[in-house]
Amino acid sequence: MLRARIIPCLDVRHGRTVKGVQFQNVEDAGDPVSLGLRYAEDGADELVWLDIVATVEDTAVQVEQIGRLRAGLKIPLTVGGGVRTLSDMEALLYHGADKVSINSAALANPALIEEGAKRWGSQCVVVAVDARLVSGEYQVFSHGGRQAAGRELGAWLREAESRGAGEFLLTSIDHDGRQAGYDLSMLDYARSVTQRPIIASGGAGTIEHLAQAFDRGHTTVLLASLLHRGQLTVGTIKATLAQRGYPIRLVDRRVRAAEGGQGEYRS
Amino acid sequence: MKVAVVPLHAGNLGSLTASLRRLGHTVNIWETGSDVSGTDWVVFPGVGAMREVTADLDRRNLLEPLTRMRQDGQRFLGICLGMQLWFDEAEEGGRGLGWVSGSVPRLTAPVLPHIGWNDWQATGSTPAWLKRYEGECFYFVHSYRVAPRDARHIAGLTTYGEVFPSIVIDRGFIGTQFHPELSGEVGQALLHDLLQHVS
Repeated sequence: MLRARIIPCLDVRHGRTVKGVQFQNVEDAGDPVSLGLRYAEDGADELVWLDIVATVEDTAVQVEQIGRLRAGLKIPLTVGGGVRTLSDMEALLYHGADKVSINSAALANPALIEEGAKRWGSQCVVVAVDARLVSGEYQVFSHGGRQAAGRELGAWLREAESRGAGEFLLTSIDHDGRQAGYDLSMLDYARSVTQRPIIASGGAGTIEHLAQAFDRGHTTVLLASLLHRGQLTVGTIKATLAQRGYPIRLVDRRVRAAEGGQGEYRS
Repeated sequence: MKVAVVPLHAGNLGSLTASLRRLGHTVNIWETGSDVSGTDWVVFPGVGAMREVTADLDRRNLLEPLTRMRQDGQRFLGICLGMQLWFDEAEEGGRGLGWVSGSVPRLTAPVLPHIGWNDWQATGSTPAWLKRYEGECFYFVHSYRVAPRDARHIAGLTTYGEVFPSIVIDRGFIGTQFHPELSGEVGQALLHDLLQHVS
């Protein structure tokens, strides 16, 4: 049986993890490489790394950090933020990202999805979508949620899917950073229009919020401020959900990897 | 051990090579036929685009030496797409290497690709060393599955929408539909054990 996926998000700016409320008022939350490894050790099912500024100078820092994270990381890593071209995607994949997330660039140039999927396979291309309700319709926004993209959510998901998106990272702009629960109505709607997996993002504040998403059949959730502020750990969240009967992958503390060919697997 | 990795187009090998290096192995990347040398294992990684893979390997002068190595009993590991390409036909009707008899149909499930952590069950063909990992979760990402003609080649089964083979073993060849290199500590341990065994 497929397990629920619980994915910590590292929002990175100038090489440091930050957390903002509704894409604004960011605060420092530490070194992304050590934080990412800690999440993984604690049972994260994947990691998402989003560079929220990604200037040219930051790109060099970013690929160096991603290389360091990859050397120690044993779970999948998605990297995004400021990805504009195929060569941006290539640099991230080459330095150890398993998937690349594209957002504004995909809206400006949807052919980028196709080109990426053709070159590396759909599984490498995550299309990140920021949306919120505007006059009764879910509208897509670009540039960190600031600019209306002029596209309705369902239409964009369908187009991106047909162009080769392997997965969606769907953020509710209204719910993001508020810790009042995921935007379940938006998620339900997105689920009804695409066959691709959807990572629910924006709004997790309690374990109950995750349970609510799982109860509605959503299997994959992104966590950010909840973890950065140290309110809960990945391990606590997963143990609690497992106790409540949700399908959770638990990291067995007795299992030790065979590092350097020395160890032994004990079950 | 010496482990050769054969890239299937310009994909990301970072997770796989990092995983093999953590286990203390020497990794060589075989881009073309001139890179081929003696090795303990040849690994077909799980990333890349499947189309025209046979023609691509041929263009890179790898098809002939790899085919000869297969006949000479070389040990091979195929991960995800790297396992699928061993079969007669590749996904979407492309031609596979034909080293294992069978096809590669699309997975039947409401949400595709199958992305995430899933467990597996042993079969009558599962060797003892592998059985210790039965029921553990590994990381999957795929839309196609393999369908070996000979059921004895199926060493593990997983359920997502339908039951499909997640581990295939055939004379010196072992293939996993999941990615051990992305499967945490358990994946790392399985990869370690796998490379110790002549399957």
